[in-house]
This record gives sequence, C-alpha cells and structure tokens, in this order.
Amino acid sequence: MMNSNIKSTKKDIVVVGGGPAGMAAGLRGAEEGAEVMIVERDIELGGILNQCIHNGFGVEIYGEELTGPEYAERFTSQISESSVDVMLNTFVLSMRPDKSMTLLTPNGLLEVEAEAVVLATGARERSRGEIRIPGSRPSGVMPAGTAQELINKKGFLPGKRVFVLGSGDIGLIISRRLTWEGAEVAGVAEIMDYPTGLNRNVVQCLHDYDIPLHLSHTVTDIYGSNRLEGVELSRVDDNMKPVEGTGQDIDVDLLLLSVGLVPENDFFKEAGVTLSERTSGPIVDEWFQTDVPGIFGCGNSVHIEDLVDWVTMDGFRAGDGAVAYAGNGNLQSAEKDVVPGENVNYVVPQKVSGEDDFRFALRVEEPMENADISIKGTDISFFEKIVTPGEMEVNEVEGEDLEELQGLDEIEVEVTRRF
Amino acid sequence: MNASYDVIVIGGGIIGTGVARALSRYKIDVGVLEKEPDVCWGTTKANSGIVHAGYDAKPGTAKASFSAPGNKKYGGWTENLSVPFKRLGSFVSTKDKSQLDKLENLLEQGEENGVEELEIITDRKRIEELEPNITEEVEVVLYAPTAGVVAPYKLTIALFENARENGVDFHFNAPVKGIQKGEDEAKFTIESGGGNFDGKYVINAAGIHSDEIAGMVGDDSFSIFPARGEYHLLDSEIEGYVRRINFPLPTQESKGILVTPAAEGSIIFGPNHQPLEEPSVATTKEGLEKVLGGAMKLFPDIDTGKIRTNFAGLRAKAGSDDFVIGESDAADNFVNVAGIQSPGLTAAPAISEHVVGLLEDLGLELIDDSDFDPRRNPIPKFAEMDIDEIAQYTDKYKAAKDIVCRCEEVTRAEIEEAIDRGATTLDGIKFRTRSRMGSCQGGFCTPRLIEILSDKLGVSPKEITKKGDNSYLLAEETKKGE
Repeated sequence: MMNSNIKSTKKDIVVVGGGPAGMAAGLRGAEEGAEVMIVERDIELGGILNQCIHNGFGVEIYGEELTGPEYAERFTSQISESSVDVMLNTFVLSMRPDKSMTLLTPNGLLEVEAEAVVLATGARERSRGEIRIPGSRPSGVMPAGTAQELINKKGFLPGKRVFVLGSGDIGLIISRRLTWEGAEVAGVAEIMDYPTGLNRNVVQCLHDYDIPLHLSHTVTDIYGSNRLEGVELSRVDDNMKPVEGTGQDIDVDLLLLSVGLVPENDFFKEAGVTLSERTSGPIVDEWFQTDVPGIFGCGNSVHIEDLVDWVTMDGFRAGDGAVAYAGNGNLQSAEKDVVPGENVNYVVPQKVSGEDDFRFALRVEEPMENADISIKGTDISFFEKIVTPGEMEVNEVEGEDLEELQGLDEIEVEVTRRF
Repeated sequence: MNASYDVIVIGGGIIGTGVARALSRYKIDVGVLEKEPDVCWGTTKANSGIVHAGYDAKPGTAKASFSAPGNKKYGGWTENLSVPFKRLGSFVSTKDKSQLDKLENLLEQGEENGVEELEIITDRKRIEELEPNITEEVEVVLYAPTAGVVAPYKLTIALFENARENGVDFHFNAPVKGIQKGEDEAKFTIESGGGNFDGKYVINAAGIHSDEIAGMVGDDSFSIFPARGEYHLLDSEIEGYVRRINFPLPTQESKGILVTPAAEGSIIFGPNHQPLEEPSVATTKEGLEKVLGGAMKLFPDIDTGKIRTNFAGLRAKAGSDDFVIGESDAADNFVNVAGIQSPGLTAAPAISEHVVGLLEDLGLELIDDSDFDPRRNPIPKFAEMDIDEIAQYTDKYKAAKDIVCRCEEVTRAEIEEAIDRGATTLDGIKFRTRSRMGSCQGGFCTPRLIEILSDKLGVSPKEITKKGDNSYLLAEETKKGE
C-alpha cells in the first residue's frame, strides 16, 4: 500500500472540512495546544459561508448580525495567526478506521496519521431525482444552493423568472436575492402545510417582497426540452400525494430546489462509523465522538442545523473532545442512549455519559404550541411557545440536573403539549 | 462547410458510429452527419445498456439473425475500444412452475438463434447463489450467461473517437434538411444545417427520424413509431445488490421491466413501453410508478431511497417490428439501417459489418487501409487508479490534482481531456467522465464545469449549454453591486 515516494506526516488532530464546523474544531484544538491540520478542498476556508452574503449570522454567539463572509473572517483571521496547518485545494482520497488517511494536495500525495479525526464535511442538497419529479430534463433545474453560488460567487443569474420548490432556508433566501437582482420569483411551493425554513426568513424573504408561498403544494411536472419552459404546480392531500385536477401551469425558466440537505457521510462510512437512520449522519456522544474511537463529527455532517452559531458551538465541543482523545486516548464512555420519544423526529447526541454537562438538539415531527421539551422520568423540562420541524430546538442539561439522569439507562426526550 | 465523400452516414448513434468505424478500416472517404452537437444523444443514449444473449427474437427475423452474432463480437469490440463490458448473465424469472414451458420455449428459440450456454434453473439454492437478493418467490429461471451490460454512450463515444482517428469526418449540428439524387451520376447531395455534402452512398441511421430521412429520397416503405421507455437510476453506493440482468417473463410488446446493474456500477430499473404520437423523452408519474412497481416484483426489498434520477428514451420501432436493413427500393445506393430498437445495441457490431458487406455488393471498392488502428485509448480514469498510478498521473498532470466532481472523483485533467476530445456541453462531459452522475447530481460541480468549458472553448460562460441549442445555464450577469 505505502509507496516509498509518497510523503507522510503525523498530527494530533486532522479536521476534514474548513467550513464553520471544521474551523471551530481546528481552532479549539490549536488553542488547547494540539498539532492540528485542517484539510479543505476549496481554494479558501469558510465553506458555504462564503456564498451566504446575506446577514443574520452570529446572533447567538456574538449578539450581532454578520454576513457569511464576515462570520467566516472571524475564524480565518484567528486561524491564520494560530499554529493550525491549513491544507487548501486538498482532497481526502481515503479515510481509514485507524485514523490514517491519504490526501491529494497541490504538492502531490500525502499520507497522514492522526491521533484524532474530526469529519466536518457538511452536507449536500437533495436533487431532483431523489424527490422524483417527473417530466422532461431541460437546463434550468438546479438546487437552490448551486444557484446561490452562481449568483454570489460567480456573478451570473441562472434564470429570469423563477419558481422555488421547498421552503427551506436556502430557497427563501435565494428568492429574495433573485428579486434584488431583477429576476421575478413567481412563487415558492412547500409540500408540508407549514414552512420548513425559519419563520424570520419567511417574513423577510417572501412576505416583504410579496412572493406567494403555496403550502401543501408541490411541482408535479417539468416542461421544456432544452431550457425549462414551465412547471406544473399541484395541491397535495394529507398524505402528501398530489390531488388530480389541481394542477396549474406556471411559466418559468428556472426551477430551484430547496428540498432538504443530506449529511455528506462518505468518510464516516469509509471509516466504519455507524450512521443514524434518522439523520443520515453518524451516531455521536456528547463530545461528538462516533462509535469509532477518536473519530468525531460536527456541524451538518452530523445533522442538518439551522444556524451557523450552533454549528460553531458543536465544532468547539468536538474540538475539545478531539483534544481530550488525542491527549490520553480516552474520553468518558457514553453508555446512555438518548432516544426520540413523543413528537421527536431525532435527537443529537444519541449517546451521553451522564457525567458531563451536555447540549442536545432535536427536531419535532409535528408543529406544536405551548410545548414542553422534557426528559421522560425526570423533572428536566424546557418550555417553548411554538415548535416546528423547521426550527431546531437546542437545550442544555447541566449541573444538578445531571443527577436526575443517574438512574436512567435510556434518556427518552419527548415534546408534549403543556396546556 | 461543404465536402464530398464516398459514403455519408446520417446519424451519430450506435449504428452510425458503428458503421463509420467499420468503414474506416478501408481507403474510402466517410462523413457522418449528426444533428446534435455530439454523438449518442438519441435512442442510443437512453436505454437499458444490455447486450442480450439473443433468445428473444423469433427465428428468421433480422433481429434474430444479428443478435447472437452481435453478442459474440462484443468482447473483441469493447476490448479494442477500451469500453467496460461485463458479461453478467441474464435471468428470465418466474414465480410459477407452470410457466416452465414458456421458459423452455425461449430456450429452444435461443438455441435456434445460435445462443450458447442457455440453461433452465429450478434449484432455488442455485438461484440464490447467482442472485442472492431476488424475491424468494422465484422458482424457475432461464439463465443466459452470455448476456452482458455496456454503457451505450461510452461505447458510441469510443466508436466515434476511433473512427475519427482513422480518418472519418464528423459534422455536428448538421441536421439533414433535404437529399437530392443526381440524375446521371450515382451521387447524392445532402443539404444540412452544417453545409452541403456530396456522397456516392448514403447510410440512413437516423434512429427515430429514419423514416423522414428515407422520405427525402421518396422511400415511404416504412414508418417509425416511437415508443417511450422510462427508467430509474440508483446510486452506485448499492452496487452489488443486484448481480445479473433480471427480466420478468416477456410480453408481446417488450421484454418487460428489468432490473440490472449498469456497466458503470449503479443499478437501473426499466423500461415501460408507451407508444407515442409525438416523440417525447419526458418522464411521467404513472410511468415511473409502473417501472418501480415492476422492479419491486423482482427485488421487493431494494432500497428505493437510493434512486438518484430518472430518465426516458425512445425506441425507434418500425411498423414491421423488425430491423429494416438494406438498400432502399426507391433509391440506388441509399441504404436504410432503421427500426433499430432492442436488441439493436446487441446487434450493432454485426449490423455494422453487414452494412459494409452491403456497400461492397453495391459496388463500393474496399481496399484495406494499412494505417487503420482498431485500438482507442480511453481517458485515464482517476477514480479507478491505485495509489501508485495516482502518484504517477498527478505527477505528470497538474490538473489531475484538482478533483472537480467530488462524488465520482473526476479530475480537471479528465474534464479538459473530454473537451479536447469533442465534448462541448455539460452532457458531453457527463457521458465521457461521469461528472454530474453521482450522489449530488451536479449540485457542487456545475459552476466549475461551466468555468472550465468556457475557458477551454474560449466563449463566455453564458454560451455554455447543458445539451446544445437553447439549453443555456446562465441567463445574464448579476448587477455586481451596481
């Protein structure tokens, strides 16, 4: 396997992915004195933040609203002054369970052995084929994030009259961006009966620009043999099946898909990490360690998060975990399963030790008002006026509350109506 | 431009490129006219990619006479052209032992057609050994080990490249508008969107348009009735779940909805069979549901969450339901190779050689060209290299260190070479390199592909298209903060 001409090196921590999650993990590692390498395939750090020129980043962490590039800059400037070894234009060719990997760098191949690995590989957008929209296959059908890159980084508008399928945040934000650029957004369709993006984005990106939002609707046909000429919009029933006879044709030259993100989990699979069926990301503990010791995940590669602030905090936490593991080869073992109970789609982490404070994130299955997010069999409970699947709920279990978990083998998190 | 040829081939599908390449071993001038900007964008692009064993067709038909011989030529053909071809073997499965006689009939028919190694398997254990995940209800199988899979676009591109290497001219964006037959001399003048071309012989390999082309010389002896077939394509992640080419019992119209590994690693379901008045390759909700249902009958537990895309193709079905191969009664030296529906891909190598023989019978003098080289070098494929090969390749080419398509690990070196070899569109790059065929379906790499194409072709990014014509990707520049 090992070719004598191939260079090799050792690091305490290798972070794969230089977006917000990876930057936070890498920076934390370096602050704690570890030798850290961040591997990034793009020409710069920052990941998707670089194409998010709208503001709204940093409210939770910095208490101010930054644009994506501004938020990224806070980290890149610190990283450039730190000891972190940043490998740009570098690809991971193979990732092994023993935490060694083969990299393709601008200077050739490089074998790296790491004490701990943090996989902060982000997510990809779901494609047209995955949601199985029938019809022709013209140009002018693309994921919303791709359009965002074309507009914000490459300086081109991919269409003039646009329909957006899916009310995820990217779709909402791109609708406003397109409007600013002089394109006409004919509407946004959402198959659910509630928007799946953040409420503030529904207001600021659609309502403020009179862009119609069609709830309980989906695109059922695509027209045009070369360039997109239109779509058919249909109402769906309670089972999300299109209702015959409700179809209306809308003439557009661009259809953007904002129909969800999927964690980029290939390297977890290569490393033999067990994945969660609910999140498609790895099963992790409170330090974001996977079931392969010393391999961590954080950010969207673990589960799809709403706010970059949470991504950053998870990155710091994973960085702390990686430092602890790289230092003594061990972390507190997390034996307690955290499982989704009533009206909970998923909870991360899926395992905790019960010894340390931890933050947990969940998404509900159905919207609910006056909801209690609670741990079954304990007094631990958090009140929310409204919960929806579009908004991730994050809460912390700390201090004395931990004692309540002592007797539990399994921590069941449920969301129930208080009144 | 205008040019003069001994033989003009109309159509750049598997038949057009196959015939052109077969002719390129002789000292004759050959030109191919293709209406699209690339080869292989008609019927050849979107089908099951099956090289059939040859038991389906009724003995005595043209289909039967070219199928088994075509299959036998595939090994050598694809080896010379460096195109992946896998003899996986095919299953015709039935859940009902009372259908055994139907399989026996197919076996007899196959043997009459010259198919070797056919076998009926009734031993459930053996069925499972050969195809572990097939529904447990299957009790009887006709097994044809000689059947295989090939990527039809890869094959057609290879035929095109090898023919071009051996002197054949290809004219793209050259839709044929009219054909004049010279009165005194044996000569045709073909008016096309890409110029006028003179030829002594014309091969009509125009797929679903071959009846229109024949009509241009007054030949109305056949009509093409396009029939759409729809497909699902799964992520290559589940490669290995299906191991052979799986058919249900055939019906009058078609061989049924099959489930098969694709030559390049993923799994395909399809096709259904829908005769159409107006040709269309749009997929439909009903069609895709039918295809999924058909596939689930054979593999009920397959992970349909791994479906990555769907597509449709058109069968170029002649009224006779058989291949139409031969000189036209309406015009001397005008040869129809039409109605090439399934098993046309299988038959292609045999048909190509047969057409060369036909031309010779019609008086074309065939003198061997000693410079003919049957071998074609493929674009080196980074994703298939081992570590030492990667070390060498990336040492040699700087662009090989730049992975553009992350899902399928396609480097900029491969993409640039695809453009050097004739790709001018995103689809052209896709069929040559697999970029945009992976999990993200082009979400990540499309902006870069546009840039690379625009740089290499020296045109504005706004000129770059998905598949020629009006399929542009970028409408205009942004205001850039103005």
